[in-house]
Amino acid sequence: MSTTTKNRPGRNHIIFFTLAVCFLCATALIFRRQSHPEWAQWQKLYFQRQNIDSLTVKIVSITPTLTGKPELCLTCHLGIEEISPSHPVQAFGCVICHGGQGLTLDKESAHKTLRGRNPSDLAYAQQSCGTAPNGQACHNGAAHDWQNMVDRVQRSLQATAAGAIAHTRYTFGLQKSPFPIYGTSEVRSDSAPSPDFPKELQNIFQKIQMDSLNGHVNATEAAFAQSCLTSACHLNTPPAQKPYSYRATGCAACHYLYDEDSRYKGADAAVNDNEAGHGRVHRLTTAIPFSQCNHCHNRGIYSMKQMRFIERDDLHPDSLSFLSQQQQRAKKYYIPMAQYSKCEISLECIDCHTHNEIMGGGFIYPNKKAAVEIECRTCHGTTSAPPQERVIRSAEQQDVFIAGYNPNYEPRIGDTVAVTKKGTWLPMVHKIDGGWQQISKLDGRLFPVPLAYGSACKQDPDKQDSHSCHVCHDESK
Amino acid sequence: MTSKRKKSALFNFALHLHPPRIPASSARFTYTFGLGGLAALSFFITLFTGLLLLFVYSPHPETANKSLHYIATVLPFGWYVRNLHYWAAQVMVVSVLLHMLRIVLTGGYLQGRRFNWLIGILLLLLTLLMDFSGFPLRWDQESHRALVVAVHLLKVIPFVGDSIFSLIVGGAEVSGATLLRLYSWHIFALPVVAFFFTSYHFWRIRKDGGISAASSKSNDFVTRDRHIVTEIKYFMIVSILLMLLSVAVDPYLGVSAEEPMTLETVNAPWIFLWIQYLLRYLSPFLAGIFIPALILAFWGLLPYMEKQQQAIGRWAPQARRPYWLAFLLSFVILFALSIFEWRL
Repeated sequence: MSTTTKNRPGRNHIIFFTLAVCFLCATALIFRRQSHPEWAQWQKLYFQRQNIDSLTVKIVSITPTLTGKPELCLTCHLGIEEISPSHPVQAFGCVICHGGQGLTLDKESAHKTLRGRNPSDLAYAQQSCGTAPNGQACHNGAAHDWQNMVDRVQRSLQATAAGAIAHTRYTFGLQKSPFPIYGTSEVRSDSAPSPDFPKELQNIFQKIQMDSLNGHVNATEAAFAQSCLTSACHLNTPPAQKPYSYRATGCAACHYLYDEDSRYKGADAAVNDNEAGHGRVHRLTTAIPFSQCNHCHNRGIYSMKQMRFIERDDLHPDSLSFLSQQQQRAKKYYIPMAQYSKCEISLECIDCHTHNEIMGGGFIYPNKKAAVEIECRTCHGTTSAPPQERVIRSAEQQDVFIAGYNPNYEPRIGDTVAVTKKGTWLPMVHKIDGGWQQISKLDGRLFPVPLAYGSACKQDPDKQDSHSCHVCHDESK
Repeated sequence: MTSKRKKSALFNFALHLHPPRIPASSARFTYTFGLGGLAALSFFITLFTGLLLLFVYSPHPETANKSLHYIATVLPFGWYVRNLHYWAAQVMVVSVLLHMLRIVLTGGYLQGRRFNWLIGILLLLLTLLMDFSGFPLRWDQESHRALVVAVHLLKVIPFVGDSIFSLIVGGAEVSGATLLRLYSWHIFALPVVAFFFTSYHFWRIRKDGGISAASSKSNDFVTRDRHIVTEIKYFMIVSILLMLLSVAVDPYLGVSAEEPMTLETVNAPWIFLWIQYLLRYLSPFLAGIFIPALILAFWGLLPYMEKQQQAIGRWAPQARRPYWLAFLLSFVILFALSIFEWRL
């Protein structure tokens, strides 16, 4: 067969035509993929939900002034709430707190180095909230210890659970005194106000792990750690995944508000709003309502006998529906049989409890008693003396500075404010026209403060714990 | 200029690659599978797409990985250019290897073509170097780790290991200097050398009497024009497949090596998986330097071992069985080791 001269132009034409069609089809596929990026679907969904007519999708790039590096996160997370007025997105952007890769539009690559879903988890809080990459002190690394919130919180009881661990171990004969040795993580403090305060705690989980490696693990201690420390109420552990209990960890456990159903209700279409485990909106706040404290506090009781946490089963929505708003609040917060006075169900928890009690004053507290500093007399005085008071002379003063975080009250020089037994100022409780008034941190409501001093109160001035006051002032009946 | 001359100018290069007529048995697709041409085509695609990537890629530790993420997700059609660059490079490596296999199995290096086979070995080496030097330019954690392993392997070369290490790494440790050096090799030095030797490789084919063919008195020939038409069809098919592959599959791009390490295991580029497997059992010198060099030497010297020169132009002839079988075996073993490592 000689093919030298043979040519089949007809057949070639068909082949080339077919190949050209295939080439065009492949080109069309390339253009299709280019014009249908993943991020566009989130923007379209956002426009649809917000009833915005303009359907022009485009890449959204911001260059936060603090980092100077462009970020594209808002391309998908269009419409997400600014985290707080003191963290404006134009200055902070997203990456400085969340980590992650700001300069990609591929979801997986962008999210791979995120500091989890919650950058304020105590594992990341130092990176995210503490000190900025350039060394700038934010909520840690500042000159005054009291400005270093990240360190303070890590030493607080809410993070360490030191008192609960020490007392449980003491009760079961695992240590000779209730002086704390272990916490849920390893922490250190340079200072202690008295010898009752430890200067360091060891990690109880590591201790139990070492015990089990050495073959002499204590079953009670292991059960306690497993049932009461790994899925419960301190800042290091995730919450129980159920209504009421949902919350974040770390700083966000308090400052990032969760609804009972823990569904996201904000504008960002890229956040799954049909999935439990999200805060209400993407926002940090210092105005923390009792319902947020409620995610941990009084969710049930511990059974030492069974070494487990027994959750409340009396909070079914049907059983609450016929109660008044305030009765519902009392019922949601207090376990049955608990006593409470009127101020305890009309004010917010943070209206009275100080930053030192909640976030820790920088020390490692041995137990709850050592941490709590407010008493009835702090605001109401005793029958023999009015409340202890101070006059604000400088805005630089620690408690005044911290009160300034709250948008509802600006402490003023010359104000006379109440002081706790440990000397912490309560600028929200101050003198006005000779009487005392309280401003709610949550919404700025004003409450006149009645005094025991000069009233018909029959208290013993030396008994200032809540039980003594509840003898007369009990609203639970 | 007449239209005929225009046409001849246009096809000048293609025309000179081929003699006016080619023995029909050698022009058959199933004789060569067009593998050498495929390697050249994919080389040109990587050159062209690489040229485009040059405009955006930034060879600095802080920005290298970021600029690739930018190319892959933000820059219009950037993903396509990068994907095409990657897939064409993979096709190039595979086609070079298969082209070698074809040459050995058909005796394509016989009858005075031994030297061109050595040039081919050099081109294999250049292909692998281009492939490997491109890999760490991603500057993600996988490629960074693989790079650290690879450059430290160089240190175990007797006498000159430390010098080669310094030459490539540009310091005591893998750093921005290493990235810049690899970048310069990848985008300039290696392609220029490879381009030169590819041209020489093609030129030598004609110099050595054209593509290998069985000696026969047959008068069956294919004209150059007709053969080029066939090649264009073939290249179009390959190009379309490459386009589809680039639309469908994105090559991996990890987290920047400047970020805290998030990886637990790291793999070498697939072509070096067999070395990674050997490193599990043998000393770095044996697995990383000696054995690869031995294999390369064996492959290079193969045509010089063959005494008879007649059984050419046919696939796997009985007369040359020990040679092609040995080569095939070395191929299969490396392939099997790579699969083992990949499955681990």
